[in-house]
Amino acid sequence: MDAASIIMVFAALSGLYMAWSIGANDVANAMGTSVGSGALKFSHAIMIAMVFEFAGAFFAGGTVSQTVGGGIIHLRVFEENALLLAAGMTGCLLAASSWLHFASYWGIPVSTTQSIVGAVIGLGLVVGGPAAVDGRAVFTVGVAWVLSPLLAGWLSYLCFQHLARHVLGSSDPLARIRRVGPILVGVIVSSLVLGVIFRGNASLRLSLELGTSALIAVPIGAAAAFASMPVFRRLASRKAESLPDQVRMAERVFQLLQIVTACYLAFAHGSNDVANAIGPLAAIFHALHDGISQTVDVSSSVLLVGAVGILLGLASYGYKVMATIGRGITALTPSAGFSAVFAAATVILFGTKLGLPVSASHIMVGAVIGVGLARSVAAINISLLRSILVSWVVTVPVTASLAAGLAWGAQYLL
Amino acid sequence: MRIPLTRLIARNPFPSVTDLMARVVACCDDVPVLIDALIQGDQATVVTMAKQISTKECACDAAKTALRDALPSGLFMSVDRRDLLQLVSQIDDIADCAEDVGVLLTLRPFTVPPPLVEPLRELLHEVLETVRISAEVVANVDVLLASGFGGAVAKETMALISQLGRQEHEADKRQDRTAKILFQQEDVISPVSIFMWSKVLNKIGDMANHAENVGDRVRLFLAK
Repeated sequence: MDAASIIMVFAALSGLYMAWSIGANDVANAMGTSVGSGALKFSHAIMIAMVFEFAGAFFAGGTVSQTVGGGIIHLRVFEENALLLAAGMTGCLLAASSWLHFASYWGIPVSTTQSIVGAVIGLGLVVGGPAAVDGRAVFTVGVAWVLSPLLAGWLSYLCFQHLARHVLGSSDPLARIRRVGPILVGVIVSSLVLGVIFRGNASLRLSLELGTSALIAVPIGAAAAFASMPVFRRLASRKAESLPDQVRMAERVFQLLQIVTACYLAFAHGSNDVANAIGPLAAIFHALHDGISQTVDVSSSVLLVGAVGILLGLASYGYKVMATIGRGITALTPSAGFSAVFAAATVILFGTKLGLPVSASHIMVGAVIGVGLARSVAAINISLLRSILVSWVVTVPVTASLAAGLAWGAQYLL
Repeated sequence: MRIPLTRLIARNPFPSVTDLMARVVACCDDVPVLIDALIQGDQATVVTMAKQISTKECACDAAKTALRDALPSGLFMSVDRRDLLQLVSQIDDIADCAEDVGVLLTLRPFTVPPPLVEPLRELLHEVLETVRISAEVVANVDVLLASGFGGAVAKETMALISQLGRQEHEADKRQDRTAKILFQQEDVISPVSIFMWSKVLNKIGDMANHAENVGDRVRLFLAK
């Protein structure tokens, strides 16, 4: 076995491990809100997560993977040394995984996305100095990291305000939800379809323009909305006695909508986070097979590795994490949960289509605070925000240093 | 766990508040039973009921303390934390008054002067109705989360709180009338009896007063 094969095996294992880790930890966190409110039976949550995370990763994970693999640092600094690139990128995966392990063990909130991006930056700095880092790209990603939680918070606030004013706070909540429910289903289904076909998996010829994508997505969404109308009519039919009872019944209808948003979030999460595992992997495979070029082609097989890794993580460990989280989050009402998850999924998917690696975890936190500001969450532990801010400052330098160290070692050995 | 949402979203305290209110109502429901036993002259039952009310009030205290312990200061809440704590305090005070009624009636042998029997029963009815309405107001608080403390549910809750105020006013008038009837007996029954019955009537009235305060606290949630 030559050095390239050994490194490729190592790389594949590291990428798989990272994907496994994402499935085991991050997915459960995202799906936990739907489980906790009683909207989803636990077993169904796992099935939804599996199907939609896979779909998101496989059909839409290419754009962000391309950025993480080839858009953060200028790959030409490797000067055709494909082995060094492969070793260095593997080092990035190892560096990010180690930091994630350490932080999780000590209960420090941490972002997978920030970890891997930091590591890649570190790799670039060691191999080619500051010029190796694509300053504009890194700046854009940094801005996205700051803006995306704020955007998610704003969107979830607006969403809940609208629902509170026009549905749950109205004098006839059940009649309103019968009208609004299908519209929400239609919007989410359209977004999912858009997610698949707009700038999707090019090798499957699923990468269409915005106009064409919309022409396909909107009718499908409308069809889903019409199909869901009888369901809402059945669920929100009984005229309950008192207004508070009607509101409680309307909230139970939101549990159905939470199932739809859970699918949406799983898809969006898979589309953005799979890049954290296979972005470096795609760069490695591309370099070893086709030589080093700036644009990294993310092949379907690499996406498959990531998607399968996430599934394995979910099946082997993630279900345990989900159960724990589900038991702990009972304070998010279905309508608040719906608003937060809908906003988070939309912002994550938006980031994916822009090719930006964003932190799904931070976006979820932003969305929850957004609904909290709309007075729909009983109590939010904001002292946690302090530790989140600390991890913001610490993560990128730490993973950059770790990856830099490993890359320096690789340079020395190769 | 990356960013544990379980740590971010703290436990919802409102169901515990509704729970506490239910316990307090159960406590208050024993007071008419105690008074009836007193009217019948059944001293043994009076003592038993007084002990039962005391036990229930103790459980209410424990629930109140548990609730307070679950509200650390690092929380961002949909209602003002201090307002919530004061609401819990007022709810617990209703049970305290019920317990005091029981305790007072066991301090010495009491007989109910015949002219006082009907007015006393009617007073209790009005007071318990006040407590019942305040329990309904508290039960609405959890639902208010769904509408962000606005909308039609909030308006309905406000109307309920106004109704609570009117009901408490009725209870007050009843209390005054009952006190007048009591003092009409001042030449017939001993001064000590007058004094003690006065205290008992005040305590019964206080139950309604605290119930009205409960409504006022919830009104603060809606105003913000």
